[in-house]
Amino acid sequence: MATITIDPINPSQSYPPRSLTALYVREWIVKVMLASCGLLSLLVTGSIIFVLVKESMVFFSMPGISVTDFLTSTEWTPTLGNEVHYGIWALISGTILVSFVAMLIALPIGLITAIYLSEYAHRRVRAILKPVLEVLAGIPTVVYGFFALTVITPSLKFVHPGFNIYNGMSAGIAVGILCLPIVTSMAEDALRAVPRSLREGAFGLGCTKLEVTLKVVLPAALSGIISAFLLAISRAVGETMIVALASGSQPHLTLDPREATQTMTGWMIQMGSGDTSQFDARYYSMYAVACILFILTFALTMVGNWVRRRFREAYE
Amino acid sequence: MKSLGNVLDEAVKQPNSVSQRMATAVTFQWLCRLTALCSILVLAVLLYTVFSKGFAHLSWSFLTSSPHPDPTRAGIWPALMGTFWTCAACGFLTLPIGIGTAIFLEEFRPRNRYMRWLHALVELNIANLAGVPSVVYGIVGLAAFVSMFGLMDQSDNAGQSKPPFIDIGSRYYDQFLTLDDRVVLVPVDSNRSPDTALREGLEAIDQDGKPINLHLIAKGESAPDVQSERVVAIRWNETPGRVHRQSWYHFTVPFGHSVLAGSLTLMLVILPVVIISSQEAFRAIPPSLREAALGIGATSWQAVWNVTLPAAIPGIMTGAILAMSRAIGEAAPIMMISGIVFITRAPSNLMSVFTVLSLQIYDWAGRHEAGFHAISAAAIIVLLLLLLVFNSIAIVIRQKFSQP
Repeated sequence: MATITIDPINPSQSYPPRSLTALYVREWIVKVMLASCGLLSLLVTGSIIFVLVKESMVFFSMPGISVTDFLTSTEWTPTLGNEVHYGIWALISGTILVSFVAMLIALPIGLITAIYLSEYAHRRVRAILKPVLEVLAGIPTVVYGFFALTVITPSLKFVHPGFNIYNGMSAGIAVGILCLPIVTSMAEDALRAVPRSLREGAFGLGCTKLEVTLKVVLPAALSGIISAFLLAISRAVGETMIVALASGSQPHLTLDPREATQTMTGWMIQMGSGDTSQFDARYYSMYAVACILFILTFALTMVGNWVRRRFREAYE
Repeated sequence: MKSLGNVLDEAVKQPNSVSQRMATAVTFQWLCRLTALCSILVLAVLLYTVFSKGFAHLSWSFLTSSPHPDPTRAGIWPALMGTFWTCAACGFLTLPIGIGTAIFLEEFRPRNRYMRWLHALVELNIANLAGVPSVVYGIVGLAAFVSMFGLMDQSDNAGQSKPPFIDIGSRYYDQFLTLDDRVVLVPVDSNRSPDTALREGLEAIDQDGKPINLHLIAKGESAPDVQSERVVAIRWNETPGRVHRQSWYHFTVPFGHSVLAGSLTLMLVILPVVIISSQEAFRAIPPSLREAALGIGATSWQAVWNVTLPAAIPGIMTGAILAMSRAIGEAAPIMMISGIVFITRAPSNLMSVFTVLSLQIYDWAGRHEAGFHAISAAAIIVLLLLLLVFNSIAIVIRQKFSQP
């Protein structure tokens, strides 16, 4: 807490009256500056939408590329000589595959860890588990990509030799580990916000701890838990470096986790890592893909906010 | 909520006896413990892998040498310096704007309808910006900062780079070879000026910066034999090469694949994080402090500047440092800006091309040779240590100031 020191006022000294006009002018200038800081964030959103729409329009105006083909085709074959297809579903299937595997790991483990932390764990266990989760949350994603490539993939190949060197499963597991701390910390906050009296009431009726947790605490915290899930999905959909390293670069419609695949973010980073001075259709396709990705994550965030506000159980 | 209750009822079937219910409860507790153990196990395996692979490669020369095609001789100096440059520039750009926005949202509660509407819009917008994937910020930065929407006509469709629109702090020279194969430089006005026409007595400087007058050897004229003449003599058909020297304040518009473009893009990524954490810091200040200041006649800004901002600084700094550690680890947006390039020199100004540590890790980890995986792990150790230092500072600040 800041300590506030007050200068002793010397009554014999006379202070000249301060100009109020100068004060008001300064106040006004400060307000305008702060408001422009706030407006800057609106400008950022505006410029994101402007850039994505403008460059996507360049893409769709190119010969041989149509919006219907982009939105309905399942083939993404930009490098093939005669049959060029830009069908977003090939990339979306990769994103769905990786995100699905990730959520299969992050959601149950994250939720159960959150329940453990909020309902069961001893203070000393918490003191170990919380920092571990914070460290996991702070590790850069490229490190998880390295982990997927050097640990998870060899382990998968050891278990089942059918796995490709680059596969959706390995990337999905790593993304799941990445999303785990997000789910845990948000779900735990939601569970802890449930007032004690609810739990005590249920215990008083003779419930076991499990019944209290699953039938009273969990439904009460449901809006927070669902918004945690949605946030985790949106992180998984937007995750880039892990899929760029571990899932390969073959965009095709598949839901087989053993095969190499490519996600929307993977395609964007593949274009970005190459020579971006080649302004051809492949370069501009990046913006069209980013448009879809932006709409998807934007919708997930909006729905998450809406769920949290609409279904919040307010306890006095 | 009702329907969910039913679902859960079915999930946890009503057991008949108390002992069965107790048994389920105990089983679940063990399940919880095992699950919680998972995350500890994952962290342990991850750290063990990284350290066992990379620790042997950590050395002073690894830190101070440049990337090299041979993994045993490669180092991370340019990447390390690139990380420092981008993150420092990003911090200077982000903090004032982030804190300003947080003050605007938390301390200047609007009174009229339009301002209230603006407040709500900005808050909603920031929540949404926090959810945008960083790779999207990367390609927005690529369009907005690197080429400035192509408005400045940075490059045409053939991929030919044109000189920048505004160019400050760099001098351009035409470079010639004399008969003695020494390099002489003829200063030119700007990058756009045409190639220097060769003539007798052309003023040039040599590599040490000494001015010399060139002697032109016309077509068919025999070359001099004397050494002192050969040094300043130049053939009629010699073609110039454009070179430049940059000072520390070198600045161009559009920004190109530069440190500045990278840090502006990182700013977009971490700005929502800084704003949200600063808002929380302001919210944690007891309202009584603010009210007391306003009560003795302070204006809103005086109350912020003298009372709430000093009290919120520890919280803001903690959030800012955590945001910076996110910026250090970000690779996707930087990759969009700078691409995977082979860079052997640390940045020297804001317009230098650059690479960062996480990008270098990505580059090495993606190769097939095991040697590169090992140095990638060594670079990860350096990155993790860097993050550890940052987070320790945040913890120290939190501990120091949270004491009542």
